Amino acid sequence: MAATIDTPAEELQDFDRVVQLYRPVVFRFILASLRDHDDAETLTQDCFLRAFRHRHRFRGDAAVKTWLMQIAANLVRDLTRSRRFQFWKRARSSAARVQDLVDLLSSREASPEARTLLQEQLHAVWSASDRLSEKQRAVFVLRFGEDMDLLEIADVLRMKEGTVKKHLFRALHTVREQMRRVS
Amino acid sequence: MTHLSSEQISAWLLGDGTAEAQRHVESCRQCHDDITELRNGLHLFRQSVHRWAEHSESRNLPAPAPSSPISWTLAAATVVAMTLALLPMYLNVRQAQLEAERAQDALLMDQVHIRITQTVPQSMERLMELMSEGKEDRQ
Repeated sequence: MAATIDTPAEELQDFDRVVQLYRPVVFRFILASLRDHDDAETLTQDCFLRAFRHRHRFRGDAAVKTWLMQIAANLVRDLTRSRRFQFWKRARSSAARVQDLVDLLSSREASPEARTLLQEQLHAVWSASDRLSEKQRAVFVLRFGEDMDLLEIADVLRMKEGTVKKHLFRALHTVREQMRRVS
Repeated sequence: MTHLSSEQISAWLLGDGTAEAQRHVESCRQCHDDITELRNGLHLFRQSVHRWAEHSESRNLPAPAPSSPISWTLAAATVVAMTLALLPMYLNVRQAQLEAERAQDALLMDQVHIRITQTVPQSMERLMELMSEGKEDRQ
């Protein structure tokens, strides 16, 4: 018997399954955009709460994942524009975060040299993404954090494909410059 | 030799590289290394995002339940059984306390009754007794 494929609107009927299925990708996108675990947790909850409240408005002309990522992108944009976030963002040190990432990615057997190299690379790529504009970062995270294609990113961020490409080129230029500076 | 521009490298990484750029990357060590380094950095970014998110999510997993539902049922049944067993003892003790309180109350009421039925104050009771004794003697 062939399995039936749910339409986006049908998929949304089972909201528990939607949360289970898409929470990781939504959380990752928000975490990579804000670099704060608590903010990412809160905004992920807000994203699914908002989706649940407005599920009747979902027309099904986009994938559920795209719709959820649109909500998440709006929430990230609103928070990063708020004065509270700007203040804490400036006050937050990124050094500890990079060290944590090195610990997560390197094995226990890794030599000190290998850990240092990893730390330099991570510092370069993350500090480069810190320098990106709000739109460039969103595009960068969706493309290189989530492997989304340009059309999907354009749908999520409500941009034209050419605009997405332009932001990506600029983001890649910044990252490349930063990596060259480090190496 | 003219190396690839930043835009050409970006296009290459996004899968939009031209045949000309392809030939250049194959022959130019510098551009090849440049692209490889950038690609590695982007791969590292993706890997770190995923590992960080997984790590954060694992910290948020709900703590395991302290015991199974069967244990909860057993605990509830034990509490009910102990309550039923101890209830008669409690009621007996309480009954005895109530009876003792009632006896004390009755005694107190008797004392009060005696006091309020006296015709003279307590300090004059002895004098009244002597007076009645004297009256009897004269008769």
